[in-house]
Amino acid sequence: MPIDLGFVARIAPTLAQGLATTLALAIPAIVLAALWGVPVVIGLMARARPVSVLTATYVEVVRNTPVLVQMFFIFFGSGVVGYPLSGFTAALLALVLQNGAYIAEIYRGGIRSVTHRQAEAGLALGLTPRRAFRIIVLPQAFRKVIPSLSNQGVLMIKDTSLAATISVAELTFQARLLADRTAAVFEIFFTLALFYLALTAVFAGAMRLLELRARIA
Amino acid sequence: MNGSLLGGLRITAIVLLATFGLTTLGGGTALAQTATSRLDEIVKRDKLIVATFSTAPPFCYTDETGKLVGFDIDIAHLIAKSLLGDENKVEFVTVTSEGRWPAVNSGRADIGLATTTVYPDRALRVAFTRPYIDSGISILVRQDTKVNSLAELNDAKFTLANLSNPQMADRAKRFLPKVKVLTFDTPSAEFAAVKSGQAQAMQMDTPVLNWYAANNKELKVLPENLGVIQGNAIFMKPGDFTLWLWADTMVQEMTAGSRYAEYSDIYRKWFGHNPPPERFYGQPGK
Repeated sequence: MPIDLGFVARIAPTLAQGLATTLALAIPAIVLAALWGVPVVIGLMARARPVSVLTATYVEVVRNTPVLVQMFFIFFGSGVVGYPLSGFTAALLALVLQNGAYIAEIYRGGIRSVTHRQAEAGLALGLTPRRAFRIIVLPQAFRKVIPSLSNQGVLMIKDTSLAATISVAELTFQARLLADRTAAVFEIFFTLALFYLALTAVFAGAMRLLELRARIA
Repeated sequence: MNGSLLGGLRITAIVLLATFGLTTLGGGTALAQTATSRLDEIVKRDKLIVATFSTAPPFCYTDETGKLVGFDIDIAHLIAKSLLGDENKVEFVTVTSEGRWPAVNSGRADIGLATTTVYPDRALRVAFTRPYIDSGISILVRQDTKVNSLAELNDAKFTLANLSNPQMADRAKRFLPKVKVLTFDTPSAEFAAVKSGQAQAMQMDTPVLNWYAANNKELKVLPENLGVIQGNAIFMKPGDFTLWLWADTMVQEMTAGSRYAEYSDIYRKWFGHNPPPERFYGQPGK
């Protein structure tokens, strides 16, 4: 099936509107999920048993249910209990809750990958455990988690498309409207794929730069 | 050099003329023989493949037991019976709202029967038969809104649930400009929004809303419709005249011809009254 380029040019402005909403959802979602991962990983690695068990339960629950189901649950559920959240808020919340859990696991993996002997060496040199963690473990863990974080961010950008099902007018939503009106499904979803590809390429490129900068020369 | 070039040209000319002459001579028959219709394929396969929805009651949806049921599903069975002599010689491919077009255009399904309204811009990409059912657009509201008319509903404090097609957005702007709008990709998600209180009203085909209201006492359909005449039709990949003509004839036979009795039975089963338009010869006896 040939692609009609004139048609693609005509639909591009509508998709660009959707792109603005996708960015407005994806950027805060990625930043907030990366931040939310910090208290979660602290909870996971806490010595107090109830805290770590509780956090691990949370991680397992949100990790093992589809983010689409979580979006539906938050969106329709908030309506049922009488405090209807907007589709945008519900989608943001679901993305942060789920990806925060994933990212916490990434952080944990990064921290664990730094051998405990290094921290012990720090303690032997007279550092407090807290300082040993901050000066020795954390910078190395940070470098190691960047590629995984980049990957998670790309997944999140793609997952924002699920918000279309709860009335958030992002890229996929606009594409579906266009497809329903014109029945030109191939042209529209082809263009849509290009938009996502551009978005994830820019994000992954930026993360790659960060990775290079964080590398020890 | 020159001679061979001329010779080459002459040969090309002869070949071109010969080809042209043959095609012109063979014309009609050659075309009719090579362009096989999908209709022959259906008959040879002995099974009709229909693209439909699974979330749009009462036209095409899955019941509690997971079975596809609805008005469109019964119509598909009637078509299979008329075409292949057995109402069970039909296979359904369930699709999403925008997925119905590639389902027929890619050849995955022979025809589409998915509560689909004819619009001119859609007709650019798929071929429609004449409508097999008239439809309209109405508004379903929650009883607790105490709203009895479009005018009362047109208030910024209310939210309307739409289906993700642009016609819905256009009508909302025209008839309910003050109302906030939410848009969903399936009628059942729209309905969930009204049930959960995310929206107080939803816009949908009149027969669908009548069905929802009949099954949910806390909901009702506003008496006014949104001023549009709509026809739902069978759609297929454009360019296959034989298949299109057969399907269009089938629709004609169902709505006002030899299959009218069966069509009326199906209509009454799902909508509780006789199909319009009423005709001088009345309704067939049961």
